[in-house]
Amino acid sequence: MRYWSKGLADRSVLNIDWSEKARRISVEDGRALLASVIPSRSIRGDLPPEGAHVVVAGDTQPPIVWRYISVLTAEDFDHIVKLATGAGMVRFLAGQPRGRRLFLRLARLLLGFSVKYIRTWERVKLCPSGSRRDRSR
Amino acid sequence: MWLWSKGLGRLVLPMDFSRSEVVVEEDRLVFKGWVVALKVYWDYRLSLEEKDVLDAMALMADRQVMEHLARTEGLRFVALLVRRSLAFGFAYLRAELGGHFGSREREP
Repeated sequence: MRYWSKGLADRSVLNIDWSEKARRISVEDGRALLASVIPSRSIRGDLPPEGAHVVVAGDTQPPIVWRYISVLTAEDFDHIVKLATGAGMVRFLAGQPRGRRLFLRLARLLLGFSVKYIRTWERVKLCPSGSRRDRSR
Repeated sequence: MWLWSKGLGRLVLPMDFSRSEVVVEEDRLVFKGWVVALKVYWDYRLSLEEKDVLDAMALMADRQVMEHLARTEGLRFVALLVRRSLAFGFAYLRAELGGHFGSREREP
């Protein structure tokens, strides 16, 4: 995905690749991680609250290769789901030559995800310490 | 979501997807919004192509992410997902069928 904001000025765009080969995922305290990268006294902007977050990190793709860290809360995933299934996505798919194929692929992924999620929820609920132990390996 | 990159220096950008505007530009899905922080009021745009949408789904299906969501959100998250997916499926089919019948109606 390509990210641009006013602060980047004429430095083109940040090309962020969220594919498996280009990013690392961890669940940790995002606030503490950011504070370890930037001296906390000089951080500008709001920081995430303390606690566990999903952290996606990696390097942006050329032309500008910079390390990046994104911190996502559970609420962000709610918003991602809403955007991914919203009117904008419907318009996007309807306007794509391969939209039907992508729709079927998305539908399959959403279905697979739902089943996998329920199994994960059962595992976490029945054996919370076990799944934490697995994760720390 | 909070985004930090080396090029941003000491600045951590908070991004609120719930307030972003979604538009379709050629073959890309574009989110437009504002980054609001101390002394910062910047517009941003995040554009995704087909591959990025699938990568975002794969990210959500990562084991660690799923465990975290299951622990913090419980079944509420999957309920949201199922409800939204069904609405999305119907909306897409309506758009497809509407376009199909609409284009046939326009034929001479």
